[in-house]
Amino acid sequence: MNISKDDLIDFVSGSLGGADFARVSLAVSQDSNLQNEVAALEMLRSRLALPHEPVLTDKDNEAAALRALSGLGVPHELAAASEPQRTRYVPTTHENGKAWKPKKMRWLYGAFAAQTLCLLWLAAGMLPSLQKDKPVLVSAADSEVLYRGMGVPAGHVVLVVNFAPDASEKQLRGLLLDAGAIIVFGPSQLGEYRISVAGNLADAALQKLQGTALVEGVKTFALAKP
Amino acid sequence: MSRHALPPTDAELLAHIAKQDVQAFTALVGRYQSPFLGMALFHGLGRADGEEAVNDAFMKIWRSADKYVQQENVPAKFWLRSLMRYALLDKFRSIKATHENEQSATHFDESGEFDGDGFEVLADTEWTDMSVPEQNMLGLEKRDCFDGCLSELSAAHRKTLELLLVGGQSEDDIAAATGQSLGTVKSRKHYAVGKMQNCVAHCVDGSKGGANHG
Repeated sequence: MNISKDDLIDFVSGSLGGADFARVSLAVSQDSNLQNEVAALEMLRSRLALPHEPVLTDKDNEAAALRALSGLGVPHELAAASEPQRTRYVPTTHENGKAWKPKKMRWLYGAFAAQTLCLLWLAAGMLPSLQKDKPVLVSAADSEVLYRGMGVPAGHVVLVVNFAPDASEKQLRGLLLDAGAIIVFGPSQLGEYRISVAGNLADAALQKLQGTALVEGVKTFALAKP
Repeated sequence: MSRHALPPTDAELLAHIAKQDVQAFTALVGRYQSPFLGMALFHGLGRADGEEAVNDAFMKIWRSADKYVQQENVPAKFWLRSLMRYALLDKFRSIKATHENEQSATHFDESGEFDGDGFEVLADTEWTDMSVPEQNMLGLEKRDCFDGCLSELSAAHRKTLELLLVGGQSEDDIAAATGQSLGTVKSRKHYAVGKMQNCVAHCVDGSKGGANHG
């Protein structure tokens, strides 16, 4: 099969079509010398083309895909199915000839597990073992150790408070100053704040908090020595 | 046999696209939109026209994926590129037929053939404009080597090579685009391709570095 240099150039540039493309493609596939020539031309072409290729984002590419699919009349739900995909594909059993499948984001499972372990570690009292001189927060009801240290002074009581949604920052600051309390943590995902009050002021503070519309709920926790 | 965490080849994506796989199609678009748009811009199309041509090319790919015949040791990119080339020619014909853009219509002569005038816009393109990140197959180390090869060519030779390989132009087209005789174009082509193939071979072998190729 006679393949000229011009054939290879046209093949690499995309100028061949139909029977000519098939002829050159077949010849290249069977001749390692032609393969080397094509590879060299392709590398050269890549270098020459590079300055002309615009930088595009994933969104640009997804939009282009959806535009083409819309033009093709591909059903909308089918087109929409491609949106969450970030073109992460790996062939799961590449050499066995089976189809590749989208790569799962397994790192998310690992991250979730690590986060859970951290929470369990804290809850199990690992931190208090490193901070034995710090106070421990326990439930008043069953003395279960819930929380240790975290900036709560010794002898203080921790209250868990839900403030009214419409309470202003100024109002809350005045209320906390009046009660002699400081916020030590919050807001949590449930909107709770943990506030610390000196033990001898705890009862009075609790009454003030319960007696104002600025607070929707308050729970008491006592600090005990570890 | 261990599993390979490799992305699918273009041929694998095409096989899935032939089965109307939207995800595979999206992946392929992600790979080729920039190179295809680069081809369109190189040919002198504006961004909007270029995007339309690229869109047409992707639609051709969707419709024709089942016609792709994979040849061993021949990447599918060449087939894909040929479809983009057809889409570009269709776009130029469309522009001419509708007379929407007088300037673009001058890319064709009286016989309706593409006359290459659009390449004039590339006359001032600086090879050293490397503001875009690497998006094709070249590694950085080889890029420097290839730059060295190309720096040994005159501007005219490099332009000829660019029109041949990136523009896919025939010798006649290049002669018309550059105002040179056909003989001059042939001569430049012969010299540039021969010199570059030797130099590129050295780059690939790793026996050449930098721009000081002798």
